[in-house]
Amino acid sequence: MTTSTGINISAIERDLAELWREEAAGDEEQRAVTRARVLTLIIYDEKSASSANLEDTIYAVTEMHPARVLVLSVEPTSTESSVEAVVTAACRVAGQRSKQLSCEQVNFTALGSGADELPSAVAQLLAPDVPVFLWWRAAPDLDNYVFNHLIKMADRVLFDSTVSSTPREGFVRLAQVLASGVDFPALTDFAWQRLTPWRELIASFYDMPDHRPYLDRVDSLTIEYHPHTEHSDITTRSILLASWLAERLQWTLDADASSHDGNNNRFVFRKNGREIVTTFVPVVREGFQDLLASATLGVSGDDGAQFRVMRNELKQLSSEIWMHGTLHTSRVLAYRSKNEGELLATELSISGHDRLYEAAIRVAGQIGSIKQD
Amino acid sequence: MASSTDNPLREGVRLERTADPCTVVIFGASGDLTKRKLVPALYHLAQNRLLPAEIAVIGVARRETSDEDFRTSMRASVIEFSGGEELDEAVWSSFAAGLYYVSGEFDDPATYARLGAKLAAVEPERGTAGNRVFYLSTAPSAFSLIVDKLGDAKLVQPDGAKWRRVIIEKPIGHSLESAIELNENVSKVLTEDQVYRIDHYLGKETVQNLLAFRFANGIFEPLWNRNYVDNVQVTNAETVGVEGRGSYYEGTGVVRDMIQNHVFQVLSVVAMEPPINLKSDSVRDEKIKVMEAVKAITHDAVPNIAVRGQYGPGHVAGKSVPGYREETGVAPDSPTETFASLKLTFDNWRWAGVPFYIRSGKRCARRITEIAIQFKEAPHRLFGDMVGGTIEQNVLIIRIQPNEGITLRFDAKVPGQTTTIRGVNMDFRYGSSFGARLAEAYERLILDCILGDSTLFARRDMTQRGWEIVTPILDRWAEELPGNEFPNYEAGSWGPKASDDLLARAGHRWRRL
Repeated sequence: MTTSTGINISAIERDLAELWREEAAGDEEQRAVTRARVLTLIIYDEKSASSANLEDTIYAVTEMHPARVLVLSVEPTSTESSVEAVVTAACRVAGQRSKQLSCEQVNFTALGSGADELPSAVAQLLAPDVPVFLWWRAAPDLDNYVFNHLIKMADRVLFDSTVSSTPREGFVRLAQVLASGVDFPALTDFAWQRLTPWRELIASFYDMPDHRPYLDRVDSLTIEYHPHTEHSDITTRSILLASWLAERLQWTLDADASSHDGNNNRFVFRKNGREIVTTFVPVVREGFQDLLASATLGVSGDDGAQFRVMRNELKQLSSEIWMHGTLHTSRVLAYRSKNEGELLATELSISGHDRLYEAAIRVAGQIGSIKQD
Repeated sequence: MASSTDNPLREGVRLERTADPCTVVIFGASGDLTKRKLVPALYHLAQNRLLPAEIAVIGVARRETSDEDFRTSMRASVIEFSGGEELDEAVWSSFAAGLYYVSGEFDDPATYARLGAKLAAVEPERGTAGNRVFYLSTAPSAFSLIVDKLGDAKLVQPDGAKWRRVIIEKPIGHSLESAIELNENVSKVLTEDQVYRIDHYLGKETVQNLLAFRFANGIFEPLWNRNYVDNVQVTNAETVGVEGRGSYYEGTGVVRDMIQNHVFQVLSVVAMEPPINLKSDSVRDEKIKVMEAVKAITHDAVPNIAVRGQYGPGHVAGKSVPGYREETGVAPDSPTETFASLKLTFDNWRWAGVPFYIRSGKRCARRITEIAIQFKEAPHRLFGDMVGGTIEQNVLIIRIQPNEGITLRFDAKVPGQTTTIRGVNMDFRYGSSFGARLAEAYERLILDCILGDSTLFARRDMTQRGWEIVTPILDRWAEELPGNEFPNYEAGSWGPKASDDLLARAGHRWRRL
């Protein structure tokens, strides 16, 4: 490991080149050192409790995606203004006859307005020809100078909308950006990714041809959620799940018939004259904050049905189908909450826009626009 | 089941592939393969949510046991054969609730009546939509019988949208005649698109990556022909002996056990022309086309293109091991070959004149399966005798096991004042470049079958072509028993000297592994 103080790109590049020599020189068996690199990962991190685990996450992720990693650790509220860089590398022995350099890492530390120097430094250190991923470990802020400049370099921006203290406003803003036609990079929202098993299970109800007609008769959607620790608003995951269903099933939000007053969150969607009443119900349970509790698609009437996915007390997912008031099938399914590194590793495999997410965001923006009574 | 486009919620869900609900019926449920591979594979698929909730597994075997005891036994197997991975109790409980057992003799119609009754009870209970996979993990002699009985019991006929598929384990026959006979018998009951002849080598990630490597990259395919390739070496070496299966291996040998199926499948992917698309039959059409181009081996040519061997006592991985003839269940004068090397050529434009060397054996020095494409030397030796070091042929190595990956060997100047040239390996390893757990071949293949994708399964014509190629060799070897010629290689070596001589005659040598 070597250190460069201030941002001296030539010194950083020299240090990166030195990594190869160090690895080769330190090997008594003189095994050839090769490098695998499939992407550049820029990580913007405002110092937080989870920063301590960042190195472990990078190690795990670069095992699957050999990468040049540029870590930007920023304290934006600092009254000082400075920036410095440190070069490190993780070299893994890939076999008896060779060593593979799978991660070369440059750590930048910036205080206060020193952060504004980061985008220009990053631009010079992007690995050629490979896609650029920006992992923004803070609430995305389109007015932030660094964010605005880094997204122009990125093919994909990864963030977690659950960190926002005003999620509905965030969706409104994001929906506006997407609707504006501005050339925006592909987006990955970890909140959306965490919904994948829920979406899978809900979708799987209707893989059975016998169940599919019920989709045209759904007249209620009830989403139970465990509120966030820092705000009592409907959680981002709840909004995203409802938005996805509404978009996929072509339900249109009736803003006039919808109400949102903190305890009574009733949104009305319509399709072909049918009313679909969507209710968000907070359920407080210690240790489950911000998680979804259940989602139920209901069809009323004598031949009605309910399709329900829920999280049990062990945080496993289970699904139930009720027909005519009787439990028809019930399953406990494999579900393990992914940690940050696993979420990231999965997303780095995906290129291109997630059109479904972007479509869901447009509906989420509409839900977010409903004024609180 | 309808496709994802019929279910508006399916689009875009980031599930890798979505399988239909179905019942998997395993014949030979008390056997080793079921315990070691099949049920662990199904469990891992369920764990990774690659199977729908509406899945059931029915084991069929002679042994009397209950559903509950079968579940207990399979639980122990999954724990034992999951590579140290911890069992997810909740997933297991949910999965195990769909495990059932039917006991009976395979030739007894009553067995199939019981199986039919069990299916009738399980299918609505588990919501499997009437789709069925029958996995024949039994002795090969039972394949025809089971298919026949399934047909008689009307358990295997497609019924409207309910699909019925049969997976047949290797070996497909013991000779060309028996392979044709088995295929004929199966075709009396099943259509070809219902039959999935498993070859677990095709389920390995690197074999699948061969297609991507060859046809997704623009730089290799122009070199992939007689103009640039000097020779191709396929090595399939095991360190193990017959592992207590001596009586099975007797009369089988490495050509029947490995070469005519696994090695030829891999060879066909290396040598085939680009398919027009990745549909199952497009890929398999190209594979059979190139295997049809393998130059016919005449009776007289056998000594010049084929070498057989049998291991004697020796040392493998620091342990002394007995010779083949000392193994349990093996005759003291056994003529069975445990090693073979072949030189094949193709009569087509791409490969005319390029030898493809194949070697496969037991009790070799290392366990390794790889394909090495040896490129021709540079046309002009600019760096001739005047320089230090050695100039080596470029080699592209595709490793299938262990350490799946690709290596390119090229020459480079050693830094310094002198012009010394040295070979350098550039490695790409799945394990380190993409650290994801590689799915077991059986997981991939079972899932493919449920999905109705037969690309990685052997088609009837391919199984028969493999036998056609090796039959002259087997016939000649059967006529000329080796007698005292065997054993002719030491356990822990790379086969008999004649194997080296086979290449030396053409100015080639086996890669040092």
